[in-house]
Amino acid sequence: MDRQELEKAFITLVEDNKRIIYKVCYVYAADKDGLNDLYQEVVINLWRAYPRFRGECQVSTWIYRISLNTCVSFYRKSKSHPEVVPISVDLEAFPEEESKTSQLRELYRMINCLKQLERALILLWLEEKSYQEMAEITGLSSNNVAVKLNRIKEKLKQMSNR
Amino acid sequence: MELEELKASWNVLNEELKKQTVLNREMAMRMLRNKGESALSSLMLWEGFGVGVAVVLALSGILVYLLTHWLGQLLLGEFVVLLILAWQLYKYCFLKNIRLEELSVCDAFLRINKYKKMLIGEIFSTPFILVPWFFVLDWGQEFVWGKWIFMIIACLICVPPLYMYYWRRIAKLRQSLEELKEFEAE
Repeated sequence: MDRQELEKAFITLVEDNKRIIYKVCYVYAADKDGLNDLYQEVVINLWRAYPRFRGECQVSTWIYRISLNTCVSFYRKSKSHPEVVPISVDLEAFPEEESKTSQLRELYRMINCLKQLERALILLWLEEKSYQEMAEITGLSSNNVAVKLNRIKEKLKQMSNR
Repeated sequence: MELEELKASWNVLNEELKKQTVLNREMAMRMLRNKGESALSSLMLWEGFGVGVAVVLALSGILVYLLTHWLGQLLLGEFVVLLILAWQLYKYCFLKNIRLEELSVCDAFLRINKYKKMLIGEIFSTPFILVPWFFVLDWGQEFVWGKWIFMIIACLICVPPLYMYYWRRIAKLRQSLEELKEFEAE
């Protein structure tokens, strides 16, 4: 496959999975600029890994793994990208559903209080991944995933009751 | 907010994202065309630069010998440069072998923290390598107080602030490693 065809196939893949990437970056970014920068970092890392992808796992697992690894471990703000391409999302643009906006803000606030690795696990739970998939992506055993998730949920419950 | 409400909020996000563009082909193409490097490849570039500098120093030492046939301390200098070259190559290969698509989140977290440990170790051990090296290079030369006073003052001025700056990074690194230990514990 020549570079142009590879790029075309890759862009199709990213377009099909853009929401997954957004949700991972949403959980880790401190603000909108950070989110744009992080999104671009993830796309660049996906592009670097794409020629090696042979379909050994599901595309979504592959994307979650690279996105989470980028957000948790391999990201440095702003110096990396001279020009950041802003993504097109506005989550404040639905004033008629104010209760939903405030719920989303509360969710974001609570997730931001979690540690880096905990956010990865809660994100995968919110995405309705099986324990097996969560274990594969995080590197924990399925039992440990269950135990950790219960603790994180307890933590979130306590946060919301304050 | 109950956990079911949490999930409901997440579904709100999902539904909103379906209504919005997020990313189109043109934006994705621009991201690829930008002359930006990922954080990982930036680190590799930096370590690769270090390899290049070490190679140039090693070759310079050989050139000096060929031109002057002066061996003496040059041999020791070359030995130190070769050690630096080996260390730089090790770090470069360490980073090159990090494949984000193959590592689990915990493994990737461990690797980057291991790399940070290496960098901090490097910073802290540099004065302990440079000072004896300076001493050995000066061996056999006429003892000049000024040189030694300058070296001691330079160490006193540069080393404590450097160590203080990196102390915070050590604390952060320790926190990250504890987080990982806690996360992986059953």
